[in-house]
Amino acid sequence: MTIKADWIKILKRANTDAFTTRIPSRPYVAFIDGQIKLMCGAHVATWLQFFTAQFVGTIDQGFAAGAEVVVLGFDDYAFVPSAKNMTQIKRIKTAPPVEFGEHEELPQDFPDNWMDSIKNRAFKAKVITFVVCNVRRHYARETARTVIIDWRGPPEVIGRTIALPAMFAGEAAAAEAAAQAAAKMAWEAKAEKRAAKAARRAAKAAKAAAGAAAPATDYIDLTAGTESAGPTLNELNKSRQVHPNLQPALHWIQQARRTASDGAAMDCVPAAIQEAPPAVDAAPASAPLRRGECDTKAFSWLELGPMLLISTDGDYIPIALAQIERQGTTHEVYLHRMVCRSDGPGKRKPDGRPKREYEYANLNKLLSFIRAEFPKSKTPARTFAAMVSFCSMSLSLSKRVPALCAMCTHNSLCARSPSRGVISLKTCRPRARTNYGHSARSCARPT
Amino acid sequence: MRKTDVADAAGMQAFVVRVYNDMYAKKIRTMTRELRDELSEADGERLYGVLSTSMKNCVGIAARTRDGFFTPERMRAHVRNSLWTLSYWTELDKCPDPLVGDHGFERRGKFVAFVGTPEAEAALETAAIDAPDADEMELED
Repeated sequence: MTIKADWIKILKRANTDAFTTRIPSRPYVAFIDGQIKLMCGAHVATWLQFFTAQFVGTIDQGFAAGAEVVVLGFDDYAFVPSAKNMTQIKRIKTAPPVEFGEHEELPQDFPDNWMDSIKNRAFKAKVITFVVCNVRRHYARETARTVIIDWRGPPEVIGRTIALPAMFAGEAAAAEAAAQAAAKMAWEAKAEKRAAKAARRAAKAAKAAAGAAAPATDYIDLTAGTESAGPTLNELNKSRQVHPNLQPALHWIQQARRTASDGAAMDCVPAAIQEAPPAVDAAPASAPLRRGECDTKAFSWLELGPMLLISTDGDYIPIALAQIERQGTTHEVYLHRMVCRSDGPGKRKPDGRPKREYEYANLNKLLSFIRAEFPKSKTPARTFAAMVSFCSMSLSLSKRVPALCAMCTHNSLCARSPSRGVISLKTCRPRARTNYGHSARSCARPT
Repeated sequence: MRKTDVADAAGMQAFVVRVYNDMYAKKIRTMTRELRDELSEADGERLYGVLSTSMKNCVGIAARTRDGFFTPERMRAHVRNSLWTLSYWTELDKCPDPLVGDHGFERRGKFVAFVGTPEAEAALETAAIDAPDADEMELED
């Protein structure tokens, strides 16, 4: 969903101390929105650069901020609500994604048209797999720190083992049960295949043995070997009576003969790979969690301790405020995001393009501000999120949002602080109320 | 808005009416007395209908603004959409299925659309549910 940046400007103007260039205190856990990191600029030209700059660099940034645990999250498309797909429209409209099939492999060279390629979900899934495999390898030897991959199913812990949040206990059990069931099904299918294969081998071997009596035959009789002392493996090899295609199967045959002579059931599958069917729990502990989008996954990790969220996605602010309020956590939560300019244009590069700068938003301070602005509301963060949601949900409505936001601002945030006046959403500067053409008294307060 | 909470359907519908009523106070006949008390959802929808008609008939408002003004049905769905989003933000993975119940979304063939949007607009505002060809990605707010 696209959140109007005006909301952030309003918050920033009223809480300048909540936005800092350095993180004020050390987080315990850092959550990286991997989906955002899949987007990269034109300066990235190789897969190595992509992996290093976008992922290793960001994970190390989390550690550098003081986090002991860094969680790298990706969307699990199976659980992203269908209604969330609707915001994709503007991206689809601007440029159609490139063609890439589910069974295709990633190209050797980094695609030139990355932004178009990454719109293709099959391509994106392959890239995520590539990233996950390499993160796993890169941090495999970590002993003091932990990297967690939160993508599909239960989170994967790399490096130092930690106790996962309680919510994953059920998920892990359910996932294990599902894996057991899948393993049993796979075993049964495998067993059927084995039986069929064994029957085929036995038939072939019988044919071969039948022909062994005759000169220049290519086959051996497996059963004959058990009844009478048939040729040994070495003899068979020496006599070259076995068809070349059957040579690899000789050890199977020998084992089968041995087993048959022992009176046991004959099976041409070596004991080493005979597996007992996996045990399956009668009833899984609970259904797996349906965690889809990264921005909803992040807050599963909040119970671990003070948290740093690394994402430029605007959704994080209303979600984080609502989650801090809902979970009642006392842990500090910071959001590392691109600088929101509430005081005019920022610095520019020599080529005239805006320079990318980042800042930390202290979400606990923002929540305190929201609480003060909605004193009558039992759930002020939820009230604020409702207003943000209302102004952001519809693409067509968003054209008129600034005016609507101004009214919201006037009604709620500014009405309590007459000294600040009404904030113009165009300039983000205080404006005289009379500019709006109505009196402050006529405005109702949302509580 | 004094006695309502925007985080429920009645409160949000009332909020919309109050905001538009204030915003276009100079252009249309405002509703002061009706908005004095707490509004039920039905009252909010009814008053929005009145407001919407006034807006559509007001020559003092730019044609583009008038044309873009939500119909009562669309606004009702929009309120539901927003509340579903709010529920998604607060309940996370335990939020209700947007297509089950009255959340302002509907399935049109293999697409999900906002209720109250005409077909042509819906084509622009929808995305395939099962076409994994493009994905959501926000670079910035």
